[in-house]
Amino acid sequence: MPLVAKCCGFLRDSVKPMNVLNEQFAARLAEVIQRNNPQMNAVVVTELARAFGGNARLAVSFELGFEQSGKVKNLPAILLSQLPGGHVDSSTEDEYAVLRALTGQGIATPAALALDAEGYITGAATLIMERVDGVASAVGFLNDNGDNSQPLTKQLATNTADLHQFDWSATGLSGSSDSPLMQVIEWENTFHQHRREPLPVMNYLFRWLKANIPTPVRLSLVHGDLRPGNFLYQGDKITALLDWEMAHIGDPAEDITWIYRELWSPQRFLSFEDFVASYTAHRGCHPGWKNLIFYRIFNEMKFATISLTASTSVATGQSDNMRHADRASKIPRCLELCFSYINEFNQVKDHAAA
Amino acid sequence: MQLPNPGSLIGTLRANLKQSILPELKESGAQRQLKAALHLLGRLEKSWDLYAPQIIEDNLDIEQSLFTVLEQLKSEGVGDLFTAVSEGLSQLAQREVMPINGLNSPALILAAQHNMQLQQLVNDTQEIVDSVELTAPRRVAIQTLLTELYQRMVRRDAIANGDYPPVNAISA
Repeated sequence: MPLVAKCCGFLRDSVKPMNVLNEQFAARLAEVIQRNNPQMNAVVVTELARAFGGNARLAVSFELGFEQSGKVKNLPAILLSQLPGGHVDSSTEDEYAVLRALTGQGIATPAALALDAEGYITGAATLIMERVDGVASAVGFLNDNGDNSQPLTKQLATNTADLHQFDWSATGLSGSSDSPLMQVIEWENTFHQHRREPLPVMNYLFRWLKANIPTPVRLSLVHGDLRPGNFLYQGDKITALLDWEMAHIGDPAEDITWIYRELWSPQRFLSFEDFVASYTAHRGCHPGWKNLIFYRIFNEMKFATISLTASTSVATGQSDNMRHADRASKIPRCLELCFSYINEFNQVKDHAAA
Repeated sequence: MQLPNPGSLIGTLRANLKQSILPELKESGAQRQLKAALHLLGRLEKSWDLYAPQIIEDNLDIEQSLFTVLEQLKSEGVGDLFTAVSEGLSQLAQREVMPINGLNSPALILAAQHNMQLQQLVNDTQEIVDSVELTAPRRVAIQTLLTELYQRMVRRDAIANGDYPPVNAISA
């Protein structure tokens, strides 16, 4: 435990340069990889370097060397470790289980290599995976003139369709007809946990979500955070979908509408309708317009709750990330959109009833 | 009046940090933190004086809306269920000033406390409206009142953020 406490205290100060990438760090990393992969021998970790892991995670890239079946192999790899005060409550173990299940199944993901749930390496839960070539820049993607981002968006539609067709029973995640409702309840609980005032508008909208949840066309493995910035690409090719920490079983419409949230929407490269058409053509199954509108509302509430959590984490001293300090100011726009989408939802509902 | 006012001071602070400190920092966590802080200062510069009128207007609107909802429910014969809400509204005037982090003016602290209590009363009212039996037209009418209140509350928060032109802050 002293090691855990020491590392957590160190990691909390995300501004200062980290000085933990030493021989002991490499040795522990190699030990965890070896333990997770008994078929690997003589595991060696070299070229440790800090990488950008987003707002909530420490990322360290490295070269992995090992012997397997008498042959020496080398593999570029990356470690991702939770930072305290993150704005998403997530389970590294679940994320690893999902990545493990997806490895080698034709879904564009990095291969999972090892899990350090106890925080032996960094003091926090850590997962280790293959490092895939490409960039994940949301800004680069969104500022593109369209030459690359249009084919990338079309590809994202088919990658998303492939993901939603995947047999999720292998992931170890549990799912039932209640799963979409459980998602709403989980986010509502997160809202209750992190709010610092009653916030009746959000309270009402969570009640609305619970009362109006549609049945999914098919329960699927949902990525939960699929958007520009969370997939790697090279030129006009997507090389991997990243950041599976929010993966769960749910309604496919959740991923599709998250991709098209206005903050990062690829609408100017491919209209939402064309994305849905491309997705449907690849998958052979439309996600349902009512479901899509419902999940636009759900996703605004999800983003509002993440923003609230981020803001609270700074206000309560759990995080010193200045990008989180003002996140609550994003909430009014989310709620305005919710009311606008509820009007749309009611029109679709009324139209269906007529 | 005393010049420079707080908005002007925030603007000066932001400009100086951007011109003299930011160029000294290489690409690093510290630089990212400063950029985020500059962004935040920019928002504060354009919204610092919108916060107080937003709370005061919010309080007035919530109180009036809740009274209207209570009147409607009384006419449906379910007003008794709202005793706690009614009492809560009438007791709002009897309160002490408790410290609130970030606020200095006793009048504004009181308004902020008042706002917190009113928010809770709105939650309670919505919960009761969802659970009592009402005729369909009355339910629609009451929910419409509440939903319109929610939309005005959100709009005020957006104005207080500086998301919309502040000229609308009082009248929106």
